[in-house]
Amino acid sequence: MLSLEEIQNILKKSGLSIVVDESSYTKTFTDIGIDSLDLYAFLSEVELEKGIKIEDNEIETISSLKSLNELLCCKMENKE
Amino acid sequence: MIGIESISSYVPSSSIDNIQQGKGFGEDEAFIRGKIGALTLPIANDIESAAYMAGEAINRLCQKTNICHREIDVIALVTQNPDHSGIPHTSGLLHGALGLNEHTACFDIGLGCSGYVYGLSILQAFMKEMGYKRGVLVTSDQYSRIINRNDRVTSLLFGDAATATLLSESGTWGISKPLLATSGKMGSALMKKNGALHMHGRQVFDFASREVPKQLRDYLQVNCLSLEEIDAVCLHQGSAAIVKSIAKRFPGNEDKFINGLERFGNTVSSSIPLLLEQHVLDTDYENVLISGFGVGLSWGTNLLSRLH
Repeated sequence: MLSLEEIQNILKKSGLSIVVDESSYTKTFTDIGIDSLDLYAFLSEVELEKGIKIEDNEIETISSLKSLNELLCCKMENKE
Repeated sequence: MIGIESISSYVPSSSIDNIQQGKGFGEDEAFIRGKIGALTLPIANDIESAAYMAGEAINRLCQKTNICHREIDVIALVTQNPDHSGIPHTSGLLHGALGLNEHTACFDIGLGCSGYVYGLSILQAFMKEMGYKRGVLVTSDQYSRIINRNDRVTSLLFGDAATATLLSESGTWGISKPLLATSGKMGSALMKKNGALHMHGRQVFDFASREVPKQLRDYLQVNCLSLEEIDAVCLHQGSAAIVKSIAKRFPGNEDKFINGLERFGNTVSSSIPLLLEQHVLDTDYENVLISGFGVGLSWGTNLLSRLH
């Protein structure tokens, strides 16, 4: 699960100058300004930060920060 | 000491307007400018084969340096799109077309985006061993021939070009010892299948943004250098997003990473020598890092230092 602060930090590490707030969770990545190539960079940083691997078929299931968090919850539970 | 004396290039005059092409894939101008980086992509016509473009690059090099073709002792040609599928080798065809001396050694190197880094060291070592005075490292590829124009992942990236780099005892840029790496198990991330190039965009992006900064740091460490001592970094021009992603891992030094994508796009093994020709050779830079990465997956980094 990524908090807003963590997301903001990862966005910065990804080189993305995007500001997120509570309303950003349910918006699509495109709507908050993350395009297809930004998403590669963002998810790469998420993987490094959380020590997990997001598979290609899993990417197809995430279109927003909310769905990303749901996936991360699932993966962290399995990890434990 | 054998070093780089001069570089020339040949870029096809026909090109694709990449902003228009991007619109066809639903991408706006900001995406093409900011993430892809190439506003035009040079495209070879039917005549402009790997051998033809290589020959034109060598003609320009000979004109620029006032040497005649028959003074060339060896040609090493880096290509992944050889004429006649590589039989005979493209450098052999080039030898015939240019009327080179029978004693000129010619061979091909089948590498992609890391090819220039490899090629410099291969040719330098070969010349030293053979006692040759003038060698030319040629890069020549027309990826446009293996691009499916309906594939948005590859269509927006690749341009065609050739370069010729003269290595000689009068060279003004010394070539150090490279760091080289391969991950064959990742090879399918960038592979020609059924005649067309297929690229797993995310895998290639992750590879480049993780492994290349690591190799750059390793190179600096092994050679007891800091990035502050480096005047410029010439990365293979994969895309603007990749160059930026690597550069941002070196805070405070991002401006040293040269971007030359705008007119050429990703020209595979030609991207680094194009940067050197246009942004380095005529400057007062002393130390320049070069780093190529891509097909293989293969990556290599080396230092070029001005000789006094």
